[in-house]
This record gives sequence, C-alpha cells and structure tokens, in this order.
Amino acid sequence: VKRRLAVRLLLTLVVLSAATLAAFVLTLHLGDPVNTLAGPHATAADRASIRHFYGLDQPIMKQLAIYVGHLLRFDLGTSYRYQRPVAALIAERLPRTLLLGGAVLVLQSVFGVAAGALAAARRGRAADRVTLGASFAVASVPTFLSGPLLLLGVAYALGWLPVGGYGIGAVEHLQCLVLPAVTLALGGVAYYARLARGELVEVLQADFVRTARAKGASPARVLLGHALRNALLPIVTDMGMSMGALLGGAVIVETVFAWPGMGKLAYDAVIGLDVPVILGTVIVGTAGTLLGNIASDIACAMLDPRLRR
Amino acid sequence: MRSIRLAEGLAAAALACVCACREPYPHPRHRGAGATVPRDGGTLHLAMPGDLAALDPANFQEAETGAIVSLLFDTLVDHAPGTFDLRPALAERWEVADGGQTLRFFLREGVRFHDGTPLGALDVKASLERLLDPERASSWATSQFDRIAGYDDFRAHRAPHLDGVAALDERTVEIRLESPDASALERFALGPSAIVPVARVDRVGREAFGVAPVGSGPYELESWERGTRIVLRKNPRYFHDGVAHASSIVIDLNVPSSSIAMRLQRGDVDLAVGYWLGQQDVVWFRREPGWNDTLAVAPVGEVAALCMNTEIPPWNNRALRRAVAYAIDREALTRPALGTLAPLYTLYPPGIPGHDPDAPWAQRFDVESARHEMVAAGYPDGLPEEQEIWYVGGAPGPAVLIQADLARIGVRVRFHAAGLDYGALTRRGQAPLSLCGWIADFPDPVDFAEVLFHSRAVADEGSPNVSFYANPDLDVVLDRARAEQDPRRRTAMYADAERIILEDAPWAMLSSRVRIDVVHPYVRDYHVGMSPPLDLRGLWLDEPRRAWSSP
Repeated sequence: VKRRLAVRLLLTLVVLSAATLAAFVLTLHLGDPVNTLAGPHATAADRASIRHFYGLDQPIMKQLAIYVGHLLRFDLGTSYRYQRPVAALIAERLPRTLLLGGAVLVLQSVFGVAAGALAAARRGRAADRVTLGASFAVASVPTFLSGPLLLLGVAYALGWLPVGGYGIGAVEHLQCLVLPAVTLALGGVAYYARLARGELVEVLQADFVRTARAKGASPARVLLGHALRNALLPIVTDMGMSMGALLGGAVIVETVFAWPGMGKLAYDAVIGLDVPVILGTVIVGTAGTLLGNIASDIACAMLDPRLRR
Repeated sequence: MRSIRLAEGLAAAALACVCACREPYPHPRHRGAGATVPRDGGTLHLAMPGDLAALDPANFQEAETGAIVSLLFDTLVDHAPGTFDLRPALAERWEVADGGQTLRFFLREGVRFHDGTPLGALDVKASLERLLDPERASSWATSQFDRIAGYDDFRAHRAPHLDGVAALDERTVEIRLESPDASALERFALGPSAIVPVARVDRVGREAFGVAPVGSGPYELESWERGTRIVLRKNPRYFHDGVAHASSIVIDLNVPSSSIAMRLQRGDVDLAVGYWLGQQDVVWFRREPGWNDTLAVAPVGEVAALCMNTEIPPWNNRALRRAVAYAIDREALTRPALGTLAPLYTLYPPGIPGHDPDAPWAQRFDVESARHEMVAAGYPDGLPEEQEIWYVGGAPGPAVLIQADLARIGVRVRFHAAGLDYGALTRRGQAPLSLCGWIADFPDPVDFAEVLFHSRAVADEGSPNVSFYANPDLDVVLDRARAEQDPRRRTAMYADAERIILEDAPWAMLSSRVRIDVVHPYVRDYHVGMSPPLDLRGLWLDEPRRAWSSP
C-alpha cells in the first residue's frame, strides 16, 4: 500500500510539473505584461526599466529556471497588480473556495444520492420518472445561466438572500454561501442522482440483496444498509475526479456571486495579465485536483476491502 | 402521474411569480428627511465591480483604487467638487514665477497624517521622489512630471535626488521645471502626486504600506477584508470643512455589475458610478419613471475614435483619411447605446475645456464630401483591397455600422481581434486601422493634443501616438501652447492644434462616453467627478430616511 501511495505521489508531481510548464508556455502568448504595467504614457526607457525590474528581459529558459527555483522553495512570486506575494493572495482566498467546494460536495452527495436512492426504490413509478426527468433538465442548465437566474429570483425578486458577496461574520457567510453553493451543486446533484440510481438498480438485483430480503431485512435496511454501500464506490471515485470541474466551475460561480475566492482571483489575473498570479492559481488548482483524486482512492479503499490489497 | 402534475404546477407557479414580480422595485425605497443644510453622520454604502490593489498613490493603475486613494490622501492642489477650478488643498496658496518655469507651494499649517505625524515640505519632496523612483516607477503617472528639472538624471540613476524639487523651509516647496509649462499645476492635483508619510513608508516597507495606508485625506482606513470589503471612517482633523460629512463609507468589492444594479434597487447601496453598471442596467434606470430623478448625468473626458496609421499605406494618404472621417454617421453609431454614448465630432470631448462642437473643423457626416475626398485621394472607385480594423478586448458594438458607413464610399473593412493587450495596436508598422480611445488624465486639452499627436509621442513600442502621426506645424503650435501662460492665448492655440489634427484626420472621431450615475434621493450634493473618477467629497446623507410612500 505504501509503495502504491509513493508511486501515486510521484505521478502527481510529474503531472504538476507538466501543468506548470504548460501554463508557463501559455502565459507567454497572452500578451506582453509590460504594456499593462507601463500604461499609455510610458517612454521606451520606462518600459525597459520595468522589463528589467521584473526579470522579463532574461531569456525564456532562464525565466523558467528562476521561476522553478523559487517554486521549489514554495515561493510563487509577487503579483504585478497587488504588489504582494502570490502565496499570501492565495492563502487569503483559498479557504473561501474550499468552503464553497466543501458545501458543494456535501449538497451533491446528500441530495444526489438521496434522490438516486428514492428513484431506485420506486423504480418505474412516478417518483422515478420525475427524478430522472428533473435531473436531465437540471444537468442541462449551465451554471452561467442557473446562477444569474437564482440571483434574480431568490435574492432580487424575493429578497430572501443577499445579492452576492461574502459578508462579515459566520451568519452572513452562510447566507451568502447558499446561492453559489446551490448553483455549483445543481449539475452534480442531477448527475449523482442518475449515477446512484443506475448503480442501485443493478445492485438491487444482486444475489446478496435477495439473500438479505430472504432473511427478512426491511426494505429500508436492504436499500441503505446493504445495497447503497456497494453502489457508493463509483460515486466516490467520480467525486474525486470531479475536483477539477469543481474548481473550474468556481471561476464562473465566484464571478457571478462576487464570492471572493480563488476562481475570481484567477479570472482577474488573466484579464489583467498578472502572470505570477495566473501561474500560482494554476499550480494550486492542479495540486487540489490531484489531491482530490488521491483522496477518493483512499476513500474507495476504505469502502471496499478488495481494493486494499 | 400525479407527482408529475404537481411538479409541473410548481414550476408554472414559480415562473408566474418571477414574471409577476418583474419590476419588484419600481422606485427607490426611501427618500430623504428633507433637510436644507448639510448634516454630518451616517454610513454610505457602495459596491464596486473590481478589486483594490495596493492603496498607494505611487503605485496604482485602476480607477477603483484611485477613487479610494483620493479619499485617503491629499494632493497639493485639487478641484473643488463638481468643477474644474483648482483650489488650495495641502498647499494653502501657490506662486508661479519665472514665466511658468517655477512653482512655489506654501503648505497649510498644522496638517497631520492619520497617525498623528505632521506633514511638512520634506514629505512633499520625498513623496515626489518616491513616485518617480527609478527602481520602481511603473506608474502611468511618471511621465506627467518629466518636465521637473533633473528628471532624466534622477530616472537614470545619475543623481540621488530630484534636483528640481526643493524644500525651502518647513512649509515651502519649490519646484523648478526644465521649461515653462502652463499645465504643471494641474498635474499636482493628480492622485499619484499625493503626499505620503515617507518616514513611515521607509519604516514599514512598500508592501505593508500598500495594505495599511496612512495619508492625510478626509477619510482614514478602518478595516479592509481583502477582496471583500473596505471600511473608511471620517478623519476628524481634516482641514477642509464640508468635504467629509458621512461618518463612514463601506465599500463591497468584486461585485459584478448586474449585482450592483440589483443592490441599488433593493437599497443595499446608496449610489453607483455609471461605469460600474452594465449598459442595459443604466438604460433600465433611465427608462423606469420612479428612478428618473436619481440619475446624475455628466460627460466625461473620454474619446473613442477610428485610428488610421499614417505610416502604413494607403493611410498615409491625407485625402483618404479625410474621406473616412466624413463617411461616418456618428449619430447612427451612438443611437444603439441609448444615451450612454454621445456622438463626437471634435478632439476635445464634452467636459474638457476647449470643447466646441460647432468649430468649423469639426468632423461632420457628409457622404458627398467623403466621395470628393475619395476622388482627390485617387480612389474614385474605392479602395481595391479590403482593410483591417484591429481592436483589443471584447467585440466592438458599432462594428457593423462602421463597416456599412465605409462601404458606402468604397472602403471595405473587416475587424481583426488583437487579443487583450493594447500593445498590439501601438506597435510600429502593425495595425493599419484600429479602434482606439483616450481617457483624460486631467481636464485640459494638452492631455489630448500633445499626448496623442505630438511627434515626440511616437515610439516603436507602446506608442502613445497611435496613428504615428508627425506634423512639424502641429509640433510648433503645441510647444508654444505648453509654455503659454495667458489663458486666452493658450485656448486659441489649442483650438488651432485641434484644427490641424482634425483636418489631417489621423483619427476619425466616433463617440464619447456619457456617465450616468445612479444616486438615491437621500444622498445629497453628490457631484459626478471626472478626476477622481468617484468623487465622494462634499456629499451628505439626508437622514433619517423616510419611506418612499410617505408624504
């Protein structure tokens, strides 16, 4: 087990380096940050001094080497725009994105699996069809549409929740969290409902379920105690794999709801050609996705004794 | 099947609800108490679309940051709220000597920074040197001060100090210029030239100062939750009366435009700058009768133009450029913007001294003259080749209309997206035509005519002179105007410069933005500012607020 974990970690590092390199190459083609930094009045001398100050006059390979050298010391550089260390900026924002992501995972797993279980238990009946139909409809709505619609309906027209933001204090944080979390979770809830239903329908026909029923276990116990545990495996795997999509979705949802997380930071950095921040958020985002995958592997191993070998 | 019907019913009900409450806020919730004299107190709530970078006068780029900086810090002189009149700020008076080559500022007595340390002449000298620091100056403002004596030596590390700035005594600062400059005083009202407590900056370091700024302005920093909210409180020691009335200002950051509009309607925020709202939202407020009285409308010193690169054939052909300038129907072009854009016929836009829409050299829409110019240019049948108009950022709204206007005189164009980086348009020999624009740094014609069209403003990279236009006659007029101290003669010279530019037509002027701010009725004496972009000085809250329906 330890060796497999070590191999996984090594692979993770390889993927992380590749992503860093890819992001570095791509930012070279975004445009010249000196134009953004210097502004319209700058003279050639001003531009040269800015280029020199940020080390942008060095050969590309040397820039990369310097960047990687700093990276190995966990130094992500300094933001052009904020004039502060990128690591400090991300440290301010990451917990908020994690809070949002955590809420989304909870919503997805609780409501997705519950709806799936309901549909599977009532297979072929009205509840099943409604769940399937609704999940299809919900999964088809992109977040950039559902987000503004929820904002318009719940926050604006009905006035029940704040119109975006983050708030001050735990109560306001929770109020502000509801809409972005629901928006980001909707697609997942629908997806996991269908996934859970499919898995459960299959498992419910398995021999051990018939045995449990024959032994006189109640339908609820059969469903939740026996079948669900066996059906969870693909769902947990899927959740780990979906970390990337979650972080990607956060970019849109955080922008729509003014949730001051890492997604918004990344978006602003791209628009403002703040290259160190772009690279920093890509690296941290990639690391998060990879850790999510590892976490789901570990969770699967805990759920399924067969995988522990 | 019953559940399906139930679900359908619920969905229909929800839809009906949303439709029925289409206009949940047909008017503001509150009006003012009806006071006639300004009162102190209250909290002003705002929401901004962007984030704030370091709150440091010497180091900001965005208008949002500039708006806050202007509340925290003071400049030597400033504009009285809502006017272009320079008035004393940190300097209680000033002298212009040597035919405009020397400025002497006499500082107000007893001014202290928010931390209690006194503000003196040495702070002024050190703040300017810090702004122009050769190591760090990445500010757009650097070149505003390139006429100060010793600027080049200081910027090139040849001198440890800026020779032209001297603290004569505790409260007198003398600034010597390389050559007379009638616009120099205006430049000391610019936000980046604000005075910082340099001893403190040296002690805490640049980065720490940017997140915990200490100035002498009408408001001081109370708290700042990064990326989320900033709270300012009134500076009780502020020297000008009637500048800071509200006790505190709370500003939510990073709020998208559409949400700002919703918050305005709900009454969560008290006012919003038109730029921060989407165009469709501004139009909504204009059209909704209950909100009509809440609008503060003013032109801003901003121009948009179709820029022709005079170094790239066929655009080195003056008559061809004039044809293009005649061919554009500016009224049709701005009509879809529903009042947020005004047609622009001259170089100096509304809101800038010198603006004269009736000037004989204004660029008018006249297809006949355009065709004449095409003949004079040697293209009676139009241009043989399709031309490219470059632009940066999002797709330009009026693209189709410009295409149609130019097709009428036989100039076929297509649009070329050049990414996000303005540098693509300002590199020598690259963009034949481009959509460009300019926002005034300060309200003066010099900031258009000289900055954009003097041959000195041509550069291989990042050329401020986007048309790469060079005309020795214009250079002479501009150089004389820069030094001219007599206001009347100066105005005439800049009018002459505008004539030369518009007749040569390196730019076909298109439009200028109209700022439409939304201000709740209980916010009084708010002035739509141009510099700073959000001017909260002088406004007051007419509280307690009364419900809208109350008499």
